[in-house]
Order: sequence, then structure tokens, then C-alpha cells
Amino acid sequence: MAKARYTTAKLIASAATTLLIVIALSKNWGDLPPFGTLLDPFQGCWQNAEPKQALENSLALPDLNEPVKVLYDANRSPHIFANTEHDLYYVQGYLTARDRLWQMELQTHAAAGRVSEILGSKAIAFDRKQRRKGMVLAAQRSLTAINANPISKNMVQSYADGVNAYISQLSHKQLPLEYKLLNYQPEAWTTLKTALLLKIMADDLSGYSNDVAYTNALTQFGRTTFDKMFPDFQDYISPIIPRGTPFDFTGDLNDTITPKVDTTQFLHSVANVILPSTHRLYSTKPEMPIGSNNWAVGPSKTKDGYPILCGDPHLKLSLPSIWYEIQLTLNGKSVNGASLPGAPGIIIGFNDSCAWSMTNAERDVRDFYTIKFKDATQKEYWLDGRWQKTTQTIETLLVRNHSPVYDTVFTTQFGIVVYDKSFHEEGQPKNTAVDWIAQRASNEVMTIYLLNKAANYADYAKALTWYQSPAQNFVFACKNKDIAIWQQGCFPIKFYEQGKFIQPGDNSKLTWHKFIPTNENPHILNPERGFVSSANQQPTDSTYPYYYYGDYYEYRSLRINKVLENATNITIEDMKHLQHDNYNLWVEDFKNQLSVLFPNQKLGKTIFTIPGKTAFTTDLFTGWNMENTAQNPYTAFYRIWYENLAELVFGDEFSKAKVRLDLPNRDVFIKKIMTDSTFALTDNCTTKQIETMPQLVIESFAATVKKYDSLVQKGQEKWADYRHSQIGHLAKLDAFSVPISGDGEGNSVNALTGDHGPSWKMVVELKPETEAYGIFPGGQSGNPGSYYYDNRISKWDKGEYDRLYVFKPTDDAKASAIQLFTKK
Amino acid sequence: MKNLFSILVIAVLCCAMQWFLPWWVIIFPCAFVGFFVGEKDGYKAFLRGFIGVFLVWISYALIRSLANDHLLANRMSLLIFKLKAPYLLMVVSAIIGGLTGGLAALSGFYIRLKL
Repeated sequence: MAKARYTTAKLIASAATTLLIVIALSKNWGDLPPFGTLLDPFQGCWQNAEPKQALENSLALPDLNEPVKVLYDANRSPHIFANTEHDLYYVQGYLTARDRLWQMELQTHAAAGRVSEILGSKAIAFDRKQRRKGMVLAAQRSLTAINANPISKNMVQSYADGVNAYISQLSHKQLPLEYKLLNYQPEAWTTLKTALLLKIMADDLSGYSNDVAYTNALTQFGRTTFDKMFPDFQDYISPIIPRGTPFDFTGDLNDTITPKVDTTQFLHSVANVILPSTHRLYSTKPEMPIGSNNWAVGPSKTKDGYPILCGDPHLKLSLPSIWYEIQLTLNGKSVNGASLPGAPGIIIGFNDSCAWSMTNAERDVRDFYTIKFKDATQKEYWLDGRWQKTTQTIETLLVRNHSPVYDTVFTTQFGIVVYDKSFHEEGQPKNTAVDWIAQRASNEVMTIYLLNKAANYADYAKALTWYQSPAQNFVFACKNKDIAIWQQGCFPIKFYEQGKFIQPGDNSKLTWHKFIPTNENPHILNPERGFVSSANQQPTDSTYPYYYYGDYYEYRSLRINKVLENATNITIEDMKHLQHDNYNLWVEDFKNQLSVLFPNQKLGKTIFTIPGKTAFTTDLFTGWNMENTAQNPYTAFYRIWYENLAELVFGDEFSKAKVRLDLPNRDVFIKKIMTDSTFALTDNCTTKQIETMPQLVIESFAATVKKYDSLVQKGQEKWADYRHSQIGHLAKLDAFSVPISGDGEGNSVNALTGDHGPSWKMVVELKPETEAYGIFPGGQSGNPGSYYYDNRISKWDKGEYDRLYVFKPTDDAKASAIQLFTKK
Repeated sequence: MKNLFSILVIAVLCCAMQWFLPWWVIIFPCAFVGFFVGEKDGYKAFLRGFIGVFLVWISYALIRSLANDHLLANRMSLLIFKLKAPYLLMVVSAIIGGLTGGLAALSGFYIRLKL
């Protein structure tokens, strides 16, 4: 009896332990993955250990009209040959999903404010913000516009069908690694997700505004200082449309709807609703995080007499890479280049006749309006002299391991109320509606479609008429030797300073009424100087008929235009060098300004004695060639010096104000403020005596020497070590991230910062047989267990390129792999 | 002989079932063998389950990883252990499978004892 009972106890104990282990190792524990499921060699992560050659030779897919052939090059970029548009985008969707499914879904979940479904309650604030920004509304409106045109409708639907053809045959063992780590399943792809992807790009590139910081700066420091910090125009710029180019239109300036209102009259009332901040909200690292370069040189400037087009969009560098390289060939006509996982077609690239690339326009298209609600229910707000109704929607957030969260969102004539009693952020205004151009219906898919097929300038111009958001500078070059650039986007016609500051939301005249026609946006064809270029600088000089402003950065454009102006007999190699140009123009300016501040003195000998423990091999002021190379010890010194000086100039006033404030851009500070003895913020407001710029320069130098010495002691003074760049995995997993250590600095043409940089580099010479080069810091596969996850990073880091070949369907011998897709 | 036979049966059944089913199906062949292949001591049943699954898991993980130059194993071990140790990841994987298999076999052994 006792023995039997003993056996029962043992049985229960062993069976229970088995069961417990199985359950415990099959579920997540907080951030920990389900280890049993994950480490199972048959279904878990070991299945993501992809052999180098792992492509099936042939695949049968439902919904294909005709057979489609795919050739792969050495980087495993697919070259698709199809006979119908449906088949082309269907296979593009299928292959992109095969290589990037997790990224496609994560990015669109982020756009839609659905990250809590994956990560749980820690993402609720992020998701609420996304919903309140109107991301989903914007995507839905754009999808309606996309579906209104049969071409774009077919394009996104075919792509979606291709993605779903992949998802539907996906077994657990083939799931991308991140699904296994985070323990969730992919859902079906929809055409809305393509629209969401385009909106998250719009958010990344145009979803910011300076309204709050500008309002604070004007209120705190007054008009004179404000204009010095944030001028509408500067005299040193090299705009996209060359200075002095006449504009052949007067602009729709005399329209009766757009009022002429001095928005600063509301300043104090709107400034009052801005929440203070208890911690430091400004940064002395004024590097443009997102920016890009593009240019095209005409036949008169090149060695071979053909145009050369170059483009390198600078975005957050991530793994899986933001770009997916692909060739799409339809009935013998090809287009090659970089696509965005989640969108059909090619975003930046070249076809048989022409090439194009984009940079961000940087113009302000997001305005803040403070709303006066009748009461706490927020059901009515004050507009045009009476109480008017808001509309209410309830956003439902599904949260992993948590009950759903509901967010009531109110909409006014000015847009969605982003900040109100239930949602606020430090330093942001209370009860504020935000209007954003990306919320208007637009069909950018048509632009992609038409650009992919464009044969000449007229086709390019027609493609751009569809394009609204995010506004871009489209550079263009064609085999008929035309070169052109066009700043295209939907820009509201604004009266002077409209939307520069927070506006009161009680007057419907302050909304946007009319928009600048496409042919009156800044553009130029075959300019006299023989090249076109853009690098996020001011698009025009002050003679442009419409009022506009934006957050422009000038150094890269000043450098690019100077190099291109002086260049002749340009070759592809010259253009590659220019994309990898590391010249530090701001240090050149900074040193020149030191000579102005300390005239007739030898900087290195008398004023600034070179620190004792430096790693400098030559004189700080005269010895360095001002190249931001990875191993040089000077860039870090100047950068720290700049930050220390900016802190001395602005830190005292900014800390005292305890509100959100921005520093002026680096070019404004160095070229203007440094030598402006009347600039009010130079004086330290916490001391009785008056400080001057030379004093602050000396003081900041001493602090810099101190900090630099500590870097030298730690052996971290070399630029790449100080900059500390890495290409981070999208889920912020360090183990899946890759550190990089090449040349480059945020304000040089090769604009590499800690986590941003040239995300795709392309050089195309438009000769009879196109010669193109391209590279991106990553690889075609999104799988961290694939050889093709990061195989191109080291080449990219060294400034090298891969040849981009236009394959023909018969180029089997050149291909590293061949796949044939047939109808199931 | 009994030992080798048991381990072989567990290994073959695990391979076949795991090809299509989640990892925890290993408990069935292990319990089955623990039940039918008679033994006086529980530890022997446990060891057979453990070794059977351990060998299958470590071999298959090794095959996958070698064909991949340990790219995935390096990253995963960096993620889990903060160091590049592909073989450690294989051993840990196999221990998870082995432990579960061993306990299942032990349970099978006790069920038979009970009946």
C-alpha cells in the first residue's frame, strides 16, 4: 500500500514537472522568449540558420497570369521578368515578403499605432500618439485616392496578393526569427498597409514642426534675437534654384481668402498654454538627423558628355535595411534601384531612359492650433464667434497580456486634437489641434508608377503632379541629356509667418485654404551652370513669390555646389568621391570666425595653447586637412568645442526659461551669431558682468581641453570612436546590430552620424548602355541568420560600391541563382 | 541493447514528429519508451529519454549551424549569453530537449509501475 502511494507521488511529481517545463518553455516571460519553442532545432531559431544557397528553383503560386522568371545577382537582389503588371508587382510582393516580412509588418504596425499588440503596455503612449497624429486616417484617405485610379489600385492589390501568397504558405519553422523571439504570428497584408508605410515615411520626413520652440523663442527673447536665430533667408546660401533665376509667375498672392494676419499678436495667449518642462529639452548637438543629397551633372560637365545622376538619402540606418534592391522588367522594359519593403515599384532608381532620386524638402507643413473647449467634455469648441461641435472617435488599442485601452479622440476644423486633458507631453501645449499636410488624400503610388516608366522630362513632370507628401526634391536626368530638379509636394499658400508659431484655433481664416500649383513649385530644367543639386537647403532665394520657411541645413549644399561648380570632365569615380566627401566645411568657417574674433593673433601660439595630452600630430589650427576621416583626432575636438560654446551661449537662458527651445542651426550660429557682438544671448544672464563671444570662446576652449584629455586617456579621441556609429536592429537588439567605423560626419557630404547616414548610395551615368553603381548598409535579407543580412556593410563603410547590372531574361550565366514562378 | 534500442526509437520518433509538430511532442515518444521498455530503476528511463532527445537536438542544430557558418548561432548566443558561443547554444538547446524528454520518459516509467 505504502509503496503504491509512493509510486503515485513519484508519478505525479514527474508528470507535473514535465508539464510545467513544457508550459514554462513555451511562453514568454516578460521580455524573455519561449526558450523551448525558440531553441527547438526542428521549428525554432535553428531553422533560421539559412545556408548561403537556399533558393528553390521553381515555385507555383496562385493568381499568376503567366510564368515569371527571376534572376539573382551576387548580392541576391532579384531581377524580375514578367509579362503583365499584375504578375510583376505580385512577384515583387512575394519576394519582398520572403526577405523582409517582419520588418514590413512592424513598420506598418508602428504607423498604425499597434505596437502594443506586440510589445504590451509599454508601447501604449507611442500608439496613442500615432493614432492622434492621424496616421491611420491619413492612410485611409490615401488608400481611397489610390483605389480611385485603376492603375495604382491594381499595383497595390497585386503587391498585397503576392505578400499574402507568401504568408499563407508560411509554416512555423519558416517564420522570421523575430516572430519566434517575440512569440507572435504575422497577419494578412492589406493595401492599407502599403498606404500606412508611405505615411510612416511622411511622418519620418515631415512629421515635425518648430511651432512650439519658435513660439517660446519669440516670447522669451523678442523679435530681434528670434530673427537672428531663425532667419527666413540668409545671404550665404546656395539654394536649389540658383540665385537670380527669374520666376515666371507672380503667385496666387492676391487671393481674397488668405488673410494677412500678424500671427504674433496671439503670441502671449498661446504661449501660456505651453506646459513647462522640468528637465533639459534642448540639445547642443545640432546635427540634422535626417537629410539627403542628390545631384545631376549635365553633358557639358562630364568627361563622356552624358549626364550623371547621384543620390544618397540619409535616413536612420537600421537592420533589416530600409531599402530593398530590385529590378522590375515588364515586357522588356526595365527599372532598377531601391524599393521600400511594403510598397510596389521602385522609389529611387533608373530605367532604360532616365534616372531619379530624392531629398527631403524640409518645408513646414504641420501647424499647431490651440483649442478653447466649452467644458471638460470637449464636445464643443469656440470657433468664429460661437460654440461648435467637435467630432469624437474612440480608438481601441489592443494590448498584449492586458485588457484593451480606449482613447477618445476629438477632431476640430483644424484637425485632430493631439494634446488634451487625457494626453499631454512635457513641453507641449495643452488642448492643441494639429493640421498636417500628410493627412490629405494623395496618391503617391501613381508618381512611383509613372517615374518607373518615364522616358523623358515631360513624363517626369507629369509623374510629379500626383505627388503631395512628404515633399521631396526630385532630381532627374535623361539619356536625351536633360537634367532637372523639382521641389514637389503639397504646400499650403501661407501669409507671412503663418504656421511659424502656435495659432489660436478660434478663427477659421487661419486654416489652410489654397495650395501652390505644382508648376509654381521651385523647379529648373537644364540650368546654365550645368548641374542641379539639393541637400536639404533653402530651395530658392528671397525672390520666390510665395512665403515659406523650413528648417534648412546649408553646409552640405555649400560644399556640393562648390565642388560641382569647379568640376569639369566629371567621371563616375569623381561622383563616388563626392558622395564620400568628408571635408569639414563648418570647421573651416569656425576657424575663420576665430580669426575675426582674435584678429592679428596666431591662434595656436598665443590664444589657444594646444593641450598637453593631445593625440594631435600637427597644429590644431593649421595642420589638419579638415577631413572627417575615421581615425583623425581633430573632428572630435572641434565638435566638443562647438558644443561647449553653444552651451555657454544658450544654456543659461534656455535652462532659466524651462520650456522647449531649439538652438539655431550650425551654419547660422557659426556664420552669423559668432561674430555678432549685438546678439543678446551671448551674455551670461546669471552673472552681473557682460560676457562677450571672445571670452566664451576661450572659456569653452578650456572646457574642451579638459574633456578631450579625458578622452585621450580612455583612448577614445579618434573620430569614429567618439561618433560611435552603429546600424541598429529595428527591435533595438544589440546582438543583431552592427557597429560601423568608417569616415563621415553629420554636416559633411558623407553625412554619417551615430545612427543616421547614407542609407542608399547610387551613381548612374546615362550613356547608351547605362552604367550604374549602388550600395546600402545592410543586405537583401532581413534574417539575422542569413549571409545576406549585413553582407554589404563593410563595403559601404569603406565608401565602395557594387555595380548595378540591368539583367536581360537570358542572362542566366550572369546570375547567381535562377527561379521560375508558375501558376498553381 | 535495450538502452541503444530505446534511444534509437526515441530519436527516430522525435525526428519524424518534430518535423511537423511543436517541440513538446517529444514527450510522447519518450513517455512511450519509458512505459514499454521495462526497467527496474527510474533513472535509466530518464537517461534514455534525455540522451535520445539530446542527441537528436544537438545533431540537428549542429547540421543547421555548420551549413550556415554559425551566423545565426553567433547572433543568438550573443543575444542570450552576451557572448559568441555557438556550441554553448547548441548544448543549451539540447539540454532543454533532453531534460523534457528525460522527465517524460520517467513519467512513462512511473505510469507503468502504477498500472
